Amino acid sequence: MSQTRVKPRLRVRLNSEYYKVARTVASLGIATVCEGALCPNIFTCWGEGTATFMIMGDTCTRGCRFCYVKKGVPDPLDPLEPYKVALAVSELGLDYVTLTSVDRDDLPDGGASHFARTVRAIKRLKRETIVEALIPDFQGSRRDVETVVESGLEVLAHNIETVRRLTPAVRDRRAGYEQSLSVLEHAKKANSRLVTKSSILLGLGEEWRELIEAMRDLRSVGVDILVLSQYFRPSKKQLPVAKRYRLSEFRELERKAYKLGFSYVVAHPLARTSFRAKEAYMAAVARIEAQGRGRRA
Amino acid sequence: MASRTEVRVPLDLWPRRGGWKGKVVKVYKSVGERVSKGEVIAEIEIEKAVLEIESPTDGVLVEVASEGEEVSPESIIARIEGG
Repeated sequence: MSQTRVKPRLRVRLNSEYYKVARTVASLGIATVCEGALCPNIFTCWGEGTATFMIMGDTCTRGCRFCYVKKGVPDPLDPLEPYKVALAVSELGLDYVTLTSVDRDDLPDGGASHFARTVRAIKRLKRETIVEALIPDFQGSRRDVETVVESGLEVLAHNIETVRRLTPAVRDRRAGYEQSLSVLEHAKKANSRLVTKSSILLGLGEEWRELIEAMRDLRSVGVDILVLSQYFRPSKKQLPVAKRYRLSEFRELERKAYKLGFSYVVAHPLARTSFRAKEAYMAAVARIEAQGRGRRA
Repeated sequence: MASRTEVRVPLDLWPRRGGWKGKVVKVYKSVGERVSKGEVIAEIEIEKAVLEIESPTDGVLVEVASEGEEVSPESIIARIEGG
């Protein structure tokens, strides 16, 4: 199969909502992962007036081999960033915000307090905003995970990205499969009402049974929302695509995931952690409440 | 004189990663052909996706990029004479 055929085809269509998002984030000098990762969903999300803010700069201290975000030595944190993000949220009229970040191993708390400040700045400006944060592993520091959890966000996401066996080849050497599971486990322990979420990229060379094992592992630490998506190679510097999954395989994995007990599953080649995040959260909460577990404990 | 429209690779695609490059992999229309608004003129392959560039207007193509050409944001894909 040629490389062209494994790539998504996107119609370049920029509407007024798209330009509004572009203008807002550019004028406030905020980075978005939509841009940083050359995300193919940019037309959909920006066209619907939403974006995923990437805080703590656009340069990551880690070198994961699937990711297009710039790597290197980051600039110092912008102390005004939490306010800028809050302003962008208010200007775009978002009622659901997804935040993500680069990894900041250079900071003593990995940026946990900056994350927390950003969540609080958003909530101060508009209290009812639902906030989802896709966080780094903070090198496994429980204290740092708690700092983010205690900021008052509703959804905490942390990605295991791939199966156990492939983790050392796919993620930065400082990342770890067990470490990521423990971040998710600890977040849930720190606040049982928190909705937790994790993503797995398919097509990096994993086997079917390894995927099932990864899903089981995520459930064993109480993860509520699972995102399964196809890996697309962003440039020649990243790992090649080992397999393109068929839609029927996505459907089958989705069924298995629901059987394992996830409250909501987003399974689609173009799904990304923050894609259709509000829908996923609403559906997950409805299901959790219907089952009477967790949030009302 | 009929108006002329330039079709460019939008600068607003992943604006902060403005340095991206792509290659024209397919051209659907040739010079002299009529195009209608919304019709795909050409496809650009970037590493992560194939972008379909559509005509912003009805008209006749007076210039179009060739397959294999390297493009980046702001590159001209086509010129269309309107009306």
